[in-house]
Amino acid sequence: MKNGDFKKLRCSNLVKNYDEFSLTVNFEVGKSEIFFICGHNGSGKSTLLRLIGGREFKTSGEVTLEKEGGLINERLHDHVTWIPQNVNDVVANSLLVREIIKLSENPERIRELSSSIGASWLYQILKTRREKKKLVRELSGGQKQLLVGLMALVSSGNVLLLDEVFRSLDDSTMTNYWNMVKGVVKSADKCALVVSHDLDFVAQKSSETNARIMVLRRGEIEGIKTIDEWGGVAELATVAAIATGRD
Amino acid sequence: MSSFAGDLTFFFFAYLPLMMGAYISILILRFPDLTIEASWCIGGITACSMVSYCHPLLASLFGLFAGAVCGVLTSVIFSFTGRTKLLSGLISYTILEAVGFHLLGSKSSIFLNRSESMFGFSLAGSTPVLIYALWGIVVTLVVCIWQSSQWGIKTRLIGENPGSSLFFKLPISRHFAGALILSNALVGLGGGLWGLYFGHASNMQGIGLVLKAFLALLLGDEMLRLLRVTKRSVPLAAIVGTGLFVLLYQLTEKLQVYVATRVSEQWLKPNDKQFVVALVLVMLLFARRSKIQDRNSVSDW
Repeated sequence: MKNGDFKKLRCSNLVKNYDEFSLTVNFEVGKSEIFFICGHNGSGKSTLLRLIGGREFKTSGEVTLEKEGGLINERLHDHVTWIPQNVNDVVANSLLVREIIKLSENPERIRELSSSIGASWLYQILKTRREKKKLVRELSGGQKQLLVGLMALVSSGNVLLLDEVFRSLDDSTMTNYWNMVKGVVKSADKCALVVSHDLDFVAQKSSETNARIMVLRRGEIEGIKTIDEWGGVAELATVAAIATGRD
Repeated sequence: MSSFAGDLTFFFFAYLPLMMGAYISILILRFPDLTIEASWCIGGITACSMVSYCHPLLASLFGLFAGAVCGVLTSVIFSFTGRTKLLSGLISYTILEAVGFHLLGSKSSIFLNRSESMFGFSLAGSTPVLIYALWGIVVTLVVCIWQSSQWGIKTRLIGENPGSSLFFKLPISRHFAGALILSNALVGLGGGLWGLYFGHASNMQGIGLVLKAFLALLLGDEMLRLLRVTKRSVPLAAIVGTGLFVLLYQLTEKLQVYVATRVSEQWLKPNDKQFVVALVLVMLLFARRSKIQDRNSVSDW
């Protein structure tokens, strides 16, 4: 697909049935939009991302990507980049960090981003001889998360699925990384679906970008509104049935 | 060169293509590929059959090609059986064993004239060792280059963590197929060279090779980790493993002869060689366990 073509992601009557749980959603996310998904444990957030990412078969309904003048008919998961909660699911610990970056669609861009984000450890690995033998196994959980996140940002996928990716980052790295996600989503042909338990984080970041927040409860959508429309973080917490840091 | 050192060098290089092939399937793909046993035999039978019509060098390349075809079969079965590793190797081995008997026709094995056996050179002296050494170096270089290539890195990634295929958008079956073909091609080459050297190929020559390859590779891998040479599996593990394996085999053989002549024939039997290698492996694992607590290794097998 050419740059500038992507228009929106649409989940139409998307249903996934399990024995004791059923997920039913109907929503769309437009180009350049950051879309938050909240809900208590077991509300269906990760299932939804797995359905969009092609990791799970749907029971019925459609996940479609639309471009100017029609649907994107190519394989859906080629356009979706999914960063799971556990980054160990997507990296191999015995590979060198440099080797993993070599597999990225744009290694040069990762180098640039690593210096602008202030991730000096990554910059060292890429630039100095001393650190070039560093294994993925030797990175901390947060460093792995950031590495995978950067690779996702430079990928050509139109839809970014970020599943609790900010949780294990320190404050300054998280802020930098968040700014980068915002920048990439606004400037490139992308949208981002951000799953988070941390309602304070969701409230703060969604008010910055006027992003919509979808609350899932027992597999159903409670509502899709901005933080102001939800009436603030306390109200959001009540609806989503999640305790906030202030409780 | 003394006969002991000569034997050691020869068997080291003779086993190297097998171990390099097995390195790809066992240490990289985490695939206990039983096809290796069949590829070795088919490679030997093909090379020994072709050497009457062409130069031994070309005949050994036919062995390589036959091994690659065995790899194709395994990868097709792997894809069609829902990526079941052990089962794919088992089915492929069963099929290829039958194919091997068909290739042999009415004979149970192929015997060559001594003149055709090793590239037309005399079997005496160091010429065969040099030829094997040359092949060993070529095979090692191929594996090293492959491992650090984009294709090799992707295969290593998928081999260690198949779940990564979705994030990196890599087709698992295609990468496994490529690596299995390469792995079995090298084993086929090893079988071909072995057959040409000894002037004999049969369908039974491969029995127990997977076990030998496992022992040698884990031995090499553990040794490198114990000495802190590397923290991950590298082709050097196959080289070190082959060296240690051959050394232990030869030493046990010497010891067995010594014990048989001086003490009793019942104490050590020819088949105890593998037992000794396994014992050393257990000792290495124990030593590493007590020394380094925080590393995973392929000895998770």
